[in-house]
Amino acid sequence: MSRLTCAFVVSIVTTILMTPAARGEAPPTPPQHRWSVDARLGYATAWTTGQSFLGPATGLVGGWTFRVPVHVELGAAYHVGSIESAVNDTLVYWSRRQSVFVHAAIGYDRAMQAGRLLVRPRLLLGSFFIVDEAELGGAMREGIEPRFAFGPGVDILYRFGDLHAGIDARAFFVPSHVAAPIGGLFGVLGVER
Amino acid sequence: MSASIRFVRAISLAAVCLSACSRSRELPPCDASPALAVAPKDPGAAVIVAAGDIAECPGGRQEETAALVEQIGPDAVFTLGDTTYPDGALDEFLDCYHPSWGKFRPITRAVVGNHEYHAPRAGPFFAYFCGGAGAPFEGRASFDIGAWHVVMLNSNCGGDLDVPASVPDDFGGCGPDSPQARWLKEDLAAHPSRCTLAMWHHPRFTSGEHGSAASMRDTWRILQDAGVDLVLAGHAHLYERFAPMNADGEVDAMRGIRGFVIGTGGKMPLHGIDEVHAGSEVRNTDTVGVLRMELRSNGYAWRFVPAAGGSFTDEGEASCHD
Repeated sequence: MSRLTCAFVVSIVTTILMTPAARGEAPPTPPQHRWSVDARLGYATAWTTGQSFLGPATGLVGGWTFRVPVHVELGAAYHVGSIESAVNDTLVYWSRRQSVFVHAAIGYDRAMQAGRLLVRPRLLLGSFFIVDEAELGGAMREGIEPRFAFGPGVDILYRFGDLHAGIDARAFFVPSHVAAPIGGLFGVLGVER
Repeated sequence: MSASIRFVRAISLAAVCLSACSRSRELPPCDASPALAVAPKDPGAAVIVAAGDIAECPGGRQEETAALVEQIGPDAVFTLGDTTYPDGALDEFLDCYHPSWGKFRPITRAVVGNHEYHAPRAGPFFAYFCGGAGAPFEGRASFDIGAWHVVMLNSNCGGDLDVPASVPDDFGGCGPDSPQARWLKEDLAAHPSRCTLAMWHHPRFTSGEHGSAASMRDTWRILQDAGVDLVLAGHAHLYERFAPMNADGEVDAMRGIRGFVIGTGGKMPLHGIDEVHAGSEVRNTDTVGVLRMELRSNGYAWRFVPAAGGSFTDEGEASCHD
């Protein structure tokens, strides 16, 4: 099982375990405090010609919405990254780059359509932990590089009882000379109480 | 649609994405006997061409500087790092550098720059140059050309050198007791040539806006103690020649090492001058070109060769340390 599949299964299972037997209930009334757990599956890319550490990704986000309604969350996502190789008659070169993104975010919940539709603009702060490996002529090197990132995002979620589904769009600025802006789009499936 | 079908579809999508994220390219063939040593046409006057900061597509002037190299017809080409921009990626080497400077690849001896490390462990750089960059991932090697001994070093030591933090772990860094420093002392002791040249990417001294690489101070001291004559570097996109300098940045005509910065290999734009560094004898910030150097039995002669449209030049000659 690939790491992406494994991470995706973990996030889905976690969401399902958190789901109450309340499917089909009427949309919730404006809540007091709420917590949520979301599984995400999507794609991210960077404005660069370098080997990608992003690409297909899956993750898990846990959030808390106050009465105000300000939303805070913590999350992590695994990005598959990419593999490159090159060969000739005497050399074989292979490299892999992948990453984990860990973030915290703060946002504002705006409910519409009698609470069924939720739009949540938010600011994300986090770090990519980029793992790269390269192999050439029998020699191998690997390393982990943290890369701080921050930027805006928006969740657009539709509620089905305690469940919700929708999209999560993100853009990141990466204040590093070896990085480039990042954009990502994820599908969201989660539960909220 | 049942949840299980949706789940299977999601997994299938992930599998498709995974296969799309893997790609392979064909490398140009490597020399059958990738020895670093160069046998010059005239052992008493080996001609080399040196430049760093070379290719970018689009926007670079690497075709013009490659034409200069062809016109000079050197015995060897020394590339001084940041060979391709912006990321040292496999595609950049194969699709941008190779069509211009690639014709000199069999006689190229290449040191690794910071932009090469935008790719995983600078892998594409080491793969592209076969053995011409030394052992994979180390970035250090030495060889002889005519009467000269040449040392290639890795200057990607972190700090303010635009280098990802984990890179020095690949080769042990640049400290006084680093594997590279120990190797350098042993190599210089084993090759007591009268004339020795060292090259790496980040200049120990420059007036350019990127600043001088203090992390190469210990290396400079080792070279100075061994009587090394010349150091070639790039990184700053300009041409600069220094008087013989000691490790502390003072002019030292007796024991100092003459430094050249030749970050004019094609990458645009060129850099400005921050503040003229002590010992800087000649500077130019508006001319793309290469340094032609003749490595003679007891000394060397240099000439900066400008690309078409440039009029700046700098030439001279000097003896090796006794």
